[in-house]
Amino acid sequence: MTKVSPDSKLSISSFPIIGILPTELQSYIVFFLQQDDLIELSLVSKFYYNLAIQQLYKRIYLNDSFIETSEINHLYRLASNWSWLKLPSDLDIEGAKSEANYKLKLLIRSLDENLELNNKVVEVRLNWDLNIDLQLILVQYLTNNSNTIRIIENITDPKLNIEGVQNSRFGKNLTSLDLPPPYPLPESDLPSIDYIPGLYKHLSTNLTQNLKHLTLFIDPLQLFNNIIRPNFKLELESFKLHCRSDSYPPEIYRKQNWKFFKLSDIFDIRYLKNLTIISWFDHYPFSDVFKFDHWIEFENLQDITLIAVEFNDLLISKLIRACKNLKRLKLDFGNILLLRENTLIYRAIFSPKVLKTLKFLDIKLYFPDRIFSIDIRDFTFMFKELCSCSFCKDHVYPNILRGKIVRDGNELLKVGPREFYQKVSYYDHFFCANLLPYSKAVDRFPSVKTSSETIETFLNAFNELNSTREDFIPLNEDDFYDLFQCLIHSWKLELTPFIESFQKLKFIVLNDVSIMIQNEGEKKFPVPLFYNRNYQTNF
Amino acid sequence: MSSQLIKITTSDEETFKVERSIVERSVLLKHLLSDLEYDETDEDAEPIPLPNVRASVFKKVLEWAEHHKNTNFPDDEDEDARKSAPIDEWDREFLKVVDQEMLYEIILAANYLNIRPLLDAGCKTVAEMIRGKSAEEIRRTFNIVNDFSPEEEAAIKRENEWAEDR
Repeated sequence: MTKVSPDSKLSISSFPIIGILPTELQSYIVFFLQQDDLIELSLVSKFYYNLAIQQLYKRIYLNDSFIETSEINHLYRLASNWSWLKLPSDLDIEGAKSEANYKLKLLIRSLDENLELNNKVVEVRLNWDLNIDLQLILVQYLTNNSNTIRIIENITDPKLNIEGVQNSRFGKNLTSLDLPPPYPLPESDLPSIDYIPGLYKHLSTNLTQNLKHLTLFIDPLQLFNNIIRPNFKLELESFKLHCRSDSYPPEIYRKQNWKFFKLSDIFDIRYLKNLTIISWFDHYPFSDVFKFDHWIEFENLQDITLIAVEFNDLLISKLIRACKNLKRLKLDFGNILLLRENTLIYRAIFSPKVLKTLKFLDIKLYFPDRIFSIDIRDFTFMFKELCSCSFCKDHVYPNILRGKIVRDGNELLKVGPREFYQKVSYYDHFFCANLLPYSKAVDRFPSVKTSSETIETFLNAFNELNSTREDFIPLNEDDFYDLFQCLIHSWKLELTPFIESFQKLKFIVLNDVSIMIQNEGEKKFPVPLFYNRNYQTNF
Repeated sequence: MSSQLIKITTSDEETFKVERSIVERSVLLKHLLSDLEYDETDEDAEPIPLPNVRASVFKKVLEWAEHHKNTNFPDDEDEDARKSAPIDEWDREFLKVVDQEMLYEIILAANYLNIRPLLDAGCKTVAEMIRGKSAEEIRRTFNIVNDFSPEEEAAIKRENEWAEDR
């Protein structure tokens, strides 16, 4: 294997003009480049190879499906700090996973053949669905060869800690600690006898004052009272809690001799900025597991993510109001799908402090007005024109919605409103098709394709469903984009308060549709990040 | 009101008189003025020397600072946002018309004077010149000589396979 000499120096004679910039500034230029351009740059010369790999390997995201990029990249480069496994866009879920495992092997091969690359990696985010043995090899390479590795996130199998981090050369440099559950999925069986000693051993070596990022699948009060008691408050910057119904040995649940009763007894409230709580419960849980009343004390929280948690209007609204500088908020409730405007949480989001500080918001809102709906009082189908811009009024409504999908009201009388509605309600089919990419946070993390559905397969299915209707005209790709633009236009009423009231809000993910708020002079308006071909605003 | 301007002398001995609010776009000069307790009402105050910046470059820096004197730039600490945000439209036009040498000198001056938003705009402008180009096109744009052997080039292509479309 030929290696590129790492000590190649800038030769002024080789590139006379840009050579007046010192290496640190050229490195700063390279900081602004992303994966594809870094790869080209690495082939330019030895000097630029060294600058490019510094960025290319810094933060690695292991994805198991295709990463979607926005067509408005010139406005904002999404997830620009990550490199990921490059996969073709046309694979089905299993095909993508298989290709991702192959690309992961190639990454390991590179780290093996050029050990210096290990010293460029600072952070790696593992993936639950990729081959665990390959990920173990990756973790072993990094913890034994990388003096730069600081964060290994998403460790989901205890053996990654036991065989990958423990007793490794550089594992002690990690500022992250993920304590995975005993089994991949919650099980009622008690974990093996080795789990608790393994847990204790791992915690006792890694629970240090350098620890900044902690992920638990177990109640922190049970863990830090009954398994290991830190003799200092943890100065965490980020904490992620997975609430699951795993079973543990009885000693975990004892409450006698507890020393800590509040989370602020364990975590120093001054430092915690990021809180993520993910619920795995598929039934109504005891609200105590989420500990919202404890988190209210952590007033320096800047980033709160609640996924599939119980809708607790009072406590979550209090938590939002308690934050002095809340910048990012993601809310997703397990027991109530859509947030209404009359809730305390909605009002807390619009509280004066939050209006000044919030930059990112991901919520699911109840929209009372919909383009297609059934009036339940008399079982009639309703069609509402919610936008009055010329694009919607003169094109989408007459040419597509009334021109192709719903042309003749008589048809409704033949089949009945419910069956008719189920066939023609285009937007319901659109949201069910999972065409919208998912991200933990669309601006900062890669957006993954969660289904193998494409515009073509979605339209084929919709056209097929309606093919027996005499008045239906099949939709094409242009119609798809026009209907999507019409959908965003129809949300103007709901989006306006967010766009006008928040001083710094840049991204809003509304009902899974990722939207960037763009400024043009004094004017602010929403632009969807995906499916935005030829998008024109109605603001 | 000229007595209430700050005097600054560039490396080629040209002296500029500048409003404090403009000068203070530079974190370096802001701290210097504070440390020196610089009094712009004192007509005998010595000019502040800028040994690393030529007059023609400093003029461009002042033009930029004048335009942005009321701009609120985003937090320095938010690395993701700094990296991801596009170049300000005015900055793009401002930097587009200068030649490569002046662009690099503006970057050097912004770095020396500690003007982060101008440094970012300059570096993003150079990054834009790289973006979307092949390795050969990048070499041509910046007049860079390929110092790889064919074996080394093949080794890098193999190394990059995990991160690129195949």
